Amino acid sequence: MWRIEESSFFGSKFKRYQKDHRSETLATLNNFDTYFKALQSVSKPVLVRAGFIHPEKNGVIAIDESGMGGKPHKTRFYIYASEDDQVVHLITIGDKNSQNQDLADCRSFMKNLKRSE
Amino acid sequence: MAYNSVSEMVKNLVEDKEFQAEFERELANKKLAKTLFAMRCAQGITQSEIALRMNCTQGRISKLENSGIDGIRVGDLVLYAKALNLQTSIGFETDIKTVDRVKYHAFQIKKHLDQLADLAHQDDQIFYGVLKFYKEYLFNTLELFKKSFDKLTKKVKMERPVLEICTPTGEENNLFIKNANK
Repeated sequence: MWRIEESSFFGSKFKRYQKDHRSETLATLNNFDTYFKALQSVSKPVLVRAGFIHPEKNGVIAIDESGMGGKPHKTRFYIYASEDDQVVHLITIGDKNSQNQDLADCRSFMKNLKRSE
Repeated sequence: MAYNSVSEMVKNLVEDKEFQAEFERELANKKLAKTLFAMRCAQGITQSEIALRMNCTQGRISKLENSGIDGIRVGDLVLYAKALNLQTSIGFETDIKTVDRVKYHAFQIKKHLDQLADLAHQDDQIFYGVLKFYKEYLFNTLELFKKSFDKLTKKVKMERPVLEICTPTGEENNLFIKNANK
């Protein structure tokens, strides 16, 4: 049974983003829920494939807000599904403007995670 | 902080109750579409592959897997399931009590076991296969029943006597019931 764990900096960033971009956060969370539910029925996380899932470096994946109408603010929800202990790590959330910093945070998170294993 | 579901995570991270409620409504509305998506992923099939099997476009599959309950037709479900080599069953229920539901499933199990028994008489090999299944089924069912019974009685602290006397008349069973009722 997979479960979800948040990084130390995820909560504050998420709360800020949710207040600034309510609809996009709602749509991204909905896509994340779809991903998480599908994860429970597959043998490997890589089998969960959809247009809203974007593979990044080091096994990190970004989930976007696609599926909502109108002209959304491009949103990326960065996660890492650790197959060994069946944990989805919530790393960070951001938009196009914060993409470089978000990816740097992901790199740093993954480095620490690998070190602790 | 660890969560078992995205709903749990949202409830913990978002203070805005209206946001929480809107998220729950969205999940309920897309429950069926999410199930379709999970079933396809479980078989390791891409949207393009299932589209080919259903003789439609990949875009249509994408739309179907992101539809609310109003956007999915029964015909779509049947075709989608067929493309995954699955059978579609639709159930209708009145607001029945849990005990009636247990009885209903018990009768359904009896019906399916009878079907197996009928099938078993066609051939010796099938007969022994079905017989093996019946034994496994009985064992597994008793195990499940035991787990459930343990859950039921876990709050009742049974005082075990130092000397236990078992009578052939089954009086110890009556004693057990009396203790459990205390």
